[in-house]
Amino acid sequence: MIRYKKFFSLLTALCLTAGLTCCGSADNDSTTDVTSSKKILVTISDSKNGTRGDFEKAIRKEGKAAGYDITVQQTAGVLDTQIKQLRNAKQHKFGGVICWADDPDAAKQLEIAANGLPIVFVNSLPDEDALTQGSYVYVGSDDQKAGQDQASYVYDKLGKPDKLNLLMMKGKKDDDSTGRRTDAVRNYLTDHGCQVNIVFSDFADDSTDTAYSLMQRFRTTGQSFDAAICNDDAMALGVIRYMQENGLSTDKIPVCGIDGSKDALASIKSGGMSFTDMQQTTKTARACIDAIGRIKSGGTINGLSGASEDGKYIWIPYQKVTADNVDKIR
Amino acid sequence: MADTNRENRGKKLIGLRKKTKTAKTGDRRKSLKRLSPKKRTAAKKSGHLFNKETSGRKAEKKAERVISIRTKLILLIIPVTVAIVALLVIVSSQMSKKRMKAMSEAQLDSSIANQADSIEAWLKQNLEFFSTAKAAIEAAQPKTPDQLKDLLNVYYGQNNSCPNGLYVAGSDGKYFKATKSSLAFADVANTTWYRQGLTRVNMDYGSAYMDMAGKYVVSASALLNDGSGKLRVISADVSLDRISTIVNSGTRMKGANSFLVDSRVGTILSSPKYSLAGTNINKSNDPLIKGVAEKIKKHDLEAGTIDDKLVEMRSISDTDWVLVSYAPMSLIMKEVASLGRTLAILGVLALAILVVILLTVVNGIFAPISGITRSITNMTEGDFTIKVDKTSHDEIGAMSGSIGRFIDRMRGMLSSISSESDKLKSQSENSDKVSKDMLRESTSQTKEMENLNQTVDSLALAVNNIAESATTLAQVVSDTKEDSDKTNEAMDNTVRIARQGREDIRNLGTAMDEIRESNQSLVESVNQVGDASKQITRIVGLIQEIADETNLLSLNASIEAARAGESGRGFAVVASQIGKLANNSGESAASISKLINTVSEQIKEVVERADQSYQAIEKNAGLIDKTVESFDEIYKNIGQSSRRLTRVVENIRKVEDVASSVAAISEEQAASTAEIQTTSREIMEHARSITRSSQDVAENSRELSDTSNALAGYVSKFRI
Repeated sequence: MIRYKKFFSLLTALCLTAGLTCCGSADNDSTTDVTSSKKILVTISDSKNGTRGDFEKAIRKEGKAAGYDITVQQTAGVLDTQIKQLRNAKQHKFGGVICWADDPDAAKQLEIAANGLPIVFVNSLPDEDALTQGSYVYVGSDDQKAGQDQASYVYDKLGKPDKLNLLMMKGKKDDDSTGRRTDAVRNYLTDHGCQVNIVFSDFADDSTDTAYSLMQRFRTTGQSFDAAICNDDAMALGVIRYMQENGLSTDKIPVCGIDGSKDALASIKSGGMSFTDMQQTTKTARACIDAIGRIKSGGTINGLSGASEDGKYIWIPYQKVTADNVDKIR
Repeated sequence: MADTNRENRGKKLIGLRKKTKTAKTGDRRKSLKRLSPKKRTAAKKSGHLFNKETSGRKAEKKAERVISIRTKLILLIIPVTVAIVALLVIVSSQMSKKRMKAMSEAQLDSSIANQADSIEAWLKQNLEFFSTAKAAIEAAQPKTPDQLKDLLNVYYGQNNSCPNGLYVAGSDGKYFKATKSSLAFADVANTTWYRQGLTRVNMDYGSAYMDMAGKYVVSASALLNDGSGKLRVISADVSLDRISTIVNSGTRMKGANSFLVDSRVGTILSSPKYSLAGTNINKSNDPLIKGVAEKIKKHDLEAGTIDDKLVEMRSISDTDWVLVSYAPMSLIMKEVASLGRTLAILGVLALAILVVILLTVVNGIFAPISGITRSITNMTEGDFTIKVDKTSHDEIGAMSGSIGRFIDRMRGMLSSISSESDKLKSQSENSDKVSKDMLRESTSQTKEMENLNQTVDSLALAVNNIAESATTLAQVVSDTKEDSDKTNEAMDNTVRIARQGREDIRNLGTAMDEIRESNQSLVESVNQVGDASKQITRIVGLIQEIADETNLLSLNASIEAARAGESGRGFAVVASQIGKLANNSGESAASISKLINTVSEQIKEVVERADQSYQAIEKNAGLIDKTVESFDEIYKNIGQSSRRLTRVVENIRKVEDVASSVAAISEEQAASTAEIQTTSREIMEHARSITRSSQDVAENSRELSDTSNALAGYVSKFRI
């Protein structure tokens, strides 16, 4: 009798295990179906021009080369739109998402919306807590490095001065990269024993016109400056326009940007901008494609060029561009 | 064939038995060899009895030193249990310590995040208010200072964080404030807020500074575009007291404290210790603050331990401020220590309970085992009269039952062994006797076999000698036959040569006749030449005479010519010439005559020689005839010798055939003798082997007899 009981208990346990395994594998299959899809969603605020435009072109090219079907959806900078795009991604059989987050602080919400789809965040750095090895990773350049490069250039260009009257144009106030880039500039100079006197520092919202407008207001203070460091090229171009209109020498007063946009390169060639830290868009796009390929097949980014040890970041190095090497840049 | 196979099988079987026996006895012999001669004898006599008694004594000694399983078990389990519990307590404490530290870090992190968020939200809220007010003033474009003041009055008192409201100052040093505001500035251009306001268009916070009232404040200031066309700065102050309240009340961790630092200048903006507010972290001697200053200098805001305090740091966005939160490690470890103590007490309690349970269980289990042990000890001493009762229904009960049954069976078995050992004893004695007889017989058989073997060896030697002689004879005959064949062949050659010689001699006789005839012909020819020479000599004499006459005539003619004078001069010449010619002819004839004489002499000589040749030829012809006769005689004799020799060769061939047969038979005989010899040796070896086996059997019988004696002795020790 006891033997029969044992036998039936074992049989029931086996049936339950088999049933659970089947259910589990059915779920896995559905997940596998989606993640094995070659369709990749790229969500970005806009890509009319500038770095985002270059990125869209590059990601399409690199994605196609890797055999992926790339779909780019724009959000016009509206976070809700981006969340909606991610929520529908699985339904539209996308296998993974490359996301230039409108608000990196909302990364966890974006992950919830993606409903298990792997996400590669690009150029808009979320908080470390929002990143998970093998699921949610970041590809981009180190903002602090960009700030350090700008400060280093100015410091050397002006002969390692003890004091420096610095003009700064900051990007969007809510953008974390703004703070990182700006702080890195000040930290570098301070660490090198240079006393920094900020004569002007305001948010120009990554806009040439806003930067130009702010410079006109700055003129009313009657202050001079030894160098201008901007969080991106667009704002640097606004500063240069002001300087050129007001007879300030861009040769003596270096103006630095970040991104390495076409306009910035043209400005460097024509003697306007002195320095830009160029984001390597093609490398960034390629790293995004490599990363999404890895994590959507259940792997990690470890071993990819620029990958951090914790498997959460792929850092793409900047390329320093000055009048000395601008002609070699394509 | 079948017999041979049977024989081989028999040999193999004997070999196998021999090997097994040798191995057994060999081992025993080896072990005996290790002992001294006396001991060896004793060992042989006592056999197993000796060994068993020795081991029995050892077992008794061991039994004296017995430690009970119960004691062993308790001595093993209790230390192990203590070690395990201690390990568990230590590991749990360590893991708890780590976990508690991690939890404390997380709690402190959460706390500082909450504080930072509160500060940022408060700052943002105020900044939005100030920005709105600024935007309103810029939109209003106040044309006069009073209008500007009115606008400032509107916003005065609307924000509790900013008790003095908004105020505006120009580059000319004039400033405007709300009517109720108590603010006053001596040198506007050198104020912190004014200088900072010049650096931006959008309202933002600057660094903290001490206001006229001696309180730390932070101003939000910016350039104002009020349509006056003058350089103006709008500003509003927030008190750091309010921020201190947020910092101090926002702590979510018991025992944790926080302070706010301006990372650019190092000033402490707020602290639970009011005395610290306004001091510079870079000049502090406090180990915690010094450690924080070093980390800020390195831009390292990661969590860590400084001065035995867990420290978390976080920067406040849009400012240069760093919020520092810390909790003493002792506070965190206090709970860990408490947990460790609790675990230790629980461990000791658990241990005590375990020991009690263990002792009870062990005693319960091992009580019946003591009874069984006693029974087994009695059995060991040979007492099978005991009785074992089954006291329980567990494994020990089953063991008691089994031992009881074992004792019953042993009792029966010992009875059987006793009777069987008696039988064995008598049988072994018989065996001993039989084996001794067998040994004796086999020894004598071996001796006989050895004699036989020697005889066979001698026989084999003799046969081998015969075989060798026969082979030598056959060889000699064969050599002789070869020589006689060669002689026969030589004889045939001689006959042929003799025949040839006879022919040649006959030919020589014929040739000699021909020579004789030729010689005669030569003599005749020479004689004819002699005749001819004589005629020539005569003719030459005539010619000589004619020449002499001619010469005389020519002399006469010359005389006549000389007489004739001149007319005879021609004739005289002819006569002279004729004279000369006659002289010459005379001289020539004289020479011919001489030559003919010489030839005649030579012919004489030739004829003489031809005669000599003839005589020699004649002589030779006679000799040749004799030689021919001799050759005929030789040929006849040789023919007879050849025929005899042929008969000799035939006889030798017959001898050779016989000698070869003799040699072959002798070899076969030698081979057979060798086989007999080998077989004889094997038989002898077997005989020896049988002797050894008989010795072993005898020895074993003796041992068996000893063993049966010993067995009877043992069995007699058991009480059944």
